[in-house]
Amino acid sequence: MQSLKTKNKQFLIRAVLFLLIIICIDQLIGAVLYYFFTHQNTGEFAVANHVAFNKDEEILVLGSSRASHHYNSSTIKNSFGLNCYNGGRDGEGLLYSTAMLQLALQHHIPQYVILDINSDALDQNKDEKDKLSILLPFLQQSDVIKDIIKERSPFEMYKSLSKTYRYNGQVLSILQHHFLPSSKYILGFNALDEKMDASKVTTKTAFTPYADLVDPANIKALVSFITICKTNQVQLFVFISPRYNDDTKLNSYLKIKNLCKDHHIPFQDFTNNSVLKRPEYYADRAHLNGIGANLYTDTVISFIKKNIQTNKAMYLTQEQ
Amino acid sequence: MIFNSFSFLLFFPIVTLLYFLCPYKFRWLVLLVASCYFYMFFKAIYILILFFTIVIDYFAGIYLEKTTNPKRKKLLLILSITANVGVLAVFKYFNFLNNNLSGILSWSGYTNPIPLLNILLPIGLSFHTFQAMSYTIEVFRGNQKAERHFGIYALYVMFYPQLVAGPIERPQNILHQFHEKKVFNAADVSEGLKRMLIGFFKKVVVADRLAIYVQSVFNNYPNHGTASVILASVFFGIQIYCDFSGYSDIAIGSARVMGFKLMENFKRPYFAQSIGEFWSKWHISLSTWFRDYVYIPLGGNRVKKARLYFNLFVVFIISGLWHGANWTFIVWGTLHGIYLVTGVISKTWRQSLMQKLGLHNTYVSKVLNIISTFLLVTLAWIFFRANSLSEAWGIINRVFVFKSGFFIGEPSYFVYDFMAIFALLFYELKQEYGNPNIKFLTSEKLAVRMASYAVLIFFILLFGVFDGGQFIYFQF
Repeated sequence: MQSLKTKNKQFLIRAVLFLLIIICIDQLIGAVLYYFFTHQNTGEFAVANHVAFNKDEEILVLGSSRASHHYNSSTIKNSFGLNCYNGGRDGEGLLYSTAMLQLALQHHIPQYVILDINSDALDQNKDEKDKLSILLPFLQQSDVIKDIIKERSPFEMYKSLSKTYRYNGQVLSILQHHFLPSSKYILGFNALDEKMDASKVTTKTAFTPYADLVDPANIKALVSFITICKTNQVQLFVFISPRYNDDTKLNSYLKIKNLCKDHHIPFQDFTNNSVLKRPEYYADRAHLNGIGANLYTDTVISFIKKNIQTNKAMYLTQEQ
Repeated sequence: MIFNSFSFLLFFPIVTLLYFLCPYKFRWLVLLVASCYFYMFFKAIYILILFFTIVIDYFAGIYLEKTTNPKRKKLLLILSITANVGVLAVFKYFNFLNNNLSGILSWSGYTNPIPLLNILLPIGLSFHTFQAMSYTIEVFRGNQKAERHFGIYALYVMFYPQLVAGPIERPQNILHQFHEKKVFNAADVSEGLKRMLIGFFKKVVVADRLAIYVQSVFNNYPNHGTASVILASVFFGIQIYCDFSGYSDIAIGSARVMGFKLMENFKRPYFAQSIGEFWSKWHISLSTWFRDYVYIPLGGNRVKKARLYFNLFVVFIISGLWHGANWTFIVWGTLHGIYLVTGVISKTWRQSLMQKLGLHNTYVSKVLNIISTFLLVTLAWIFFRANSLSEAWGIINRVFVFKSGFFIGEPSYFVYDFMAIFALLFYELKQEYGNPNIKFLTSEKLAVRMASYAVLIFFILLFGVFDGGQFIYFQF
């Protein structure tokens, strides 16, 4: 019979060995998944990778699903004769856009960045912070985004020491887009085909305008976004793209407007653009469909051209 | 602090290490301070509520033992129970009763002058209150000696692994363990860690993963049809089992690492062949509490049939109310009471039917019993999950709305849901019916054991939902 002391000693040695084996396997799985992650041909991560490993884009569109579905990058590319890519992503907000900009600038500095922002972009949004875990795989490439990842939780960086954890919840999607690619993205632009049923949607807002609470982390992210662009001499345009119903959250909206004004950033609110306020241009109340997106892209192009031609950073008030 | 948080990942090894490094006579203090810290993570001031009942029950216990006068003994017990139930009444039931009173008064044309209390329910209140009550009842019955060490009595109520969601311990099982000199024992540590790993798997890979689908459907039920609602209901049954039994596994495991043995709380309840059997496998520490302190004092089953049915109803209605101050929980408890009484009444009839069909005691009848029990429990869970009776009724109505289309949500998450369920089913089937010679986590072969742990760890890392939120039973 082994004594308790011997058994305990044996257990501790085995535990340390087991821990070492787990660390090795973790690194191995992380390396394999990083390969598949960076070699996805389609899907949202392929778009994010394109932005993060940007080599030659001169015009970069960033933002949420409204960026992804509203800015036809091919049209912008043809109009300006400059490479353009749409890096918008469904369900993501300002923190994600700031992280993607930081990653993009690691390799190449574009001439123009279009930031599509929601009126509530500065508001508290726990879901948005939770979703920041999708940035974890990019830590392999650069740690410039670690301050943004910490917004999810102060422990997130410790958790990400596990290389496997960085791909938490993403494995199937990564493998699917690697082995079974299918996508409707064209230069990152994802046109929506649906047409909204206008009878079920009202143009009136359901929100209390001044009830929103602004999150300092989001203000910091927007200021950081602006500062990064200025430091790298990138011309930044901030747009709020059209919505069928005006759900403008005024506390956040006014803060965005003032920040852009203070930093002399061209800002334009297209929420109530009269040309686009027609149900046939929408897939749902917050998203334009392909037809609406093309019309909107033309509007944006003429706005940018006007501002480039005058060669000054303009501040414009909300379009009536 | 919740078990599935990074804070606990730091807290647990530090406390365990301090516990073993500390001289024996101060170990209770380490655990008590750690337990206070653990509890105060939620809302620090509420520790005073715990302190209030601890002081009352501590002295009640001592005087209960000292006094020989039966009347005075009874009075002391009533005092202790009133203090505990009083705390529950104020923090948990006052607003519920007041709201109902307002409803009745406004129906009769009057206004309720009593204002609602603006208070939050202290986390796990029903758990530690019931544990505290079991102490004074057992001392009253003479089954337990009164604890003279105040710190150790406080620890009995506050021991962090089971403080906020059980198992609801009995003094006979746990109090003496706080006096024992625990030494670092590799077997206990290994067993405890293994149990914790299983608990984390159940919580983050199964419960919190399924919760995503369940929330999407139930929080937006008017837009979903038959298939989605049925699937969400089944998923919720699995979610709540894994959430609560996962918590119990982590509690039992983390106590075991330090050498403490807590009672079992679950025994694979979804393999039960009747509602009665289900309750002998589900939340065992609570159902035995009700058996010992409510059902048996009411006469148990050694009474006339009508009285037996009454006793069963009373126990399950109280059990429903224990879970929450809402009519949904009362209906949930009542439904289980109806199931049980109907089960008792129809037992002979069902057996003879099975015999006529030639299915009595066959695999087919066992499977049919398991499925029917699961479906009945699942139906009752709808009331448990809903925020109001109208919502529960709305969800049940949606089952009969044959709407085309089936909600999947994020496709990869849907696949993870089924992967998690199959992994759980494999583990539970193996435990319930499997060949005892085929072992994974308990294999004699070190390599098999290690590989099994590794698979679980990487399953958690790749498919778990981290920071998925609190355990459902914390609210009780």
